[in-house]
Amino acid sequence: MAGLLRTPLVLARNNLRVSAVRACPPALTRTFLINVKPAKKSKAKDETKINDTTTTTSPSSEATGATTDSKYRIETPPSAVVAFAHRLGLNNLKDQTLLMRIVTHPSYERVGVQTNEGLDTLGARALEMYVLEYLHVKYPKLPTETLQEAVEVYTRTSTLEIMAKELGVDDVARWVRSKPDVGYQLSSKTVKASVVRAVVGALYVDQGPAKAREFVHAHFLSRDFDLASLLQFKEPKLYLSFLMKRLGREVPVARLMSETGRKSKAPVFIVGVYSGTEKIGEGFGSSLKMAEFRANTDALKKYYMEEIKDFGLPSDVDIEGAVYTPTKIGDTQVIV
Amino acid sequence: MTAPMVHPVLKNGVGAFIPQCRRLVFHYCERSGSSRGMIEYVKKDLIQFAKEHPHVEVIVTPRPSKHPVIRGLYLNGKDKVVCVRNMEPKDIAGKVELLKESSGNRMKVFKKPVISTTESVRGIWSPFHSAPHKI
Repeated sequence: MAGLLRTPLVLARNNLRVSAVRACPPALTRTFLINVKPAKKSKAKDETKINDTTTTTSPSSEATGATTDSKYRIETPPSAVVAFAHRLGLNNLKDQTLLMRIVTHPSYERVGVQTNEGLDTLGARALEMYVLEYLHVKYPKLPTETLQEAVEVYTRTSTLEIMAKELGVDDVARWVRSKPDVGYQLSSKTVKASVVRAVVGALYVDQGPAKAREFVHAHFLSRDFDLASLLQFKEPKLYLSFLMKRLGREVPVARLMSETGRKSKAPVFIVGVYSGTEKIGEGFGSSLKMAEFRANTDALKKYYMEEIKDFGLPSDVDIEGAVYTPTKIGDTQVIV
Repeated sequence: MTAPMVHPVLKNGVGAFIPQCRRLVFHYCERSGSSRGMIEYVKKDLIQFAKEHPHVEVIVTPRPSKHPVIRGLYLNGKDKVVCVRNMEPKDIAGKVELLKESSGNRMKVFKKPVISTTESVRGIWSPFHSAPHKI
């Protein structure tokens, strides 16, 4: 199986068996893996037909059991899994059988089939850990609640489902759709998310934590997301004054820095917030109140979003030769 | 604790690059002359191509009494089809390259000179519209 999996080239034939074989060089005829039913005439559905009707005829006993619920079964040709593996850099897995396991959801129950249940659980924890660790070290002052929300944004099912589409999981996930009369309907989102988590889990088990972390950094944390948008303050002025008190700094004072068109239809005010002589935030607005609100929010965001450059991560100890030097740890949250 | 429904956006090439072409399907007919070049390409060059691009799933399937086509399928769910009738293997290789490199997105006209997530209010600086530089 492993030998066959390494060759992504798959030849498909339709009902014109003899002629199809004749057209191919003898070397290729031996690599027939897929039996494709004749494609339907409809143009748009042509490809999905190929995908749906393909059945694996690999030497393993996995796909041989005929079941009555084949209508609900979503199968995967091994060639698609190999292409998927190369796309994600999973081709170096020591245990190549993990590939089929990653893409198989527990709903795909069959004798002798390994599912991604364990890899999914492990991957979920590893993923959360690496995301949390990275954000916590990079933004040490981020409030705990916001930090948890940020981790949620990076690791929740809806994000993983979007990622799954972008990584091509739709093509390879093996699972069984719920029958319409069953109460609990298994969502394809759940399945796809489990595959993405299982990839992290498989890397963790097979390649070690360093590779799993590399994958999380490359595919999850490299995404574009404005973390500051998670910081919402209902009463920023009150919050800021409590924060300054806690830090032992002077009481924040809002000062009008510039204005234009006070009497006109569209006035603009620019307000700065000062703690002593230091300006800690600035905001604009069409009213003094709005400008002050924005200035206070800005001051809070500047404080909480303080970013550490060139930091080490606690999981650096997993990498050979690397030494972890801790950075400073942030303050606890202000109680208002 | 529930975070607002926002999702980190993929910036392909930052951190990791995911090639967008996921599958190439080669259709040919073995009786008609228009597939002659295609059959030659499949026999001679396709295996090498598949070895060099393991992230692309390659499928060869006959389609009798039709011109040969190559269909590229992409991660964004779209596909692109190129007819390669009467083409020489060399030209077909070019078409395969084209499909492989494509992102699968539709062709679109870029009307703005800058595409950015954080667009500047002031636009691009121009040397012809500012005060002359003095030394």
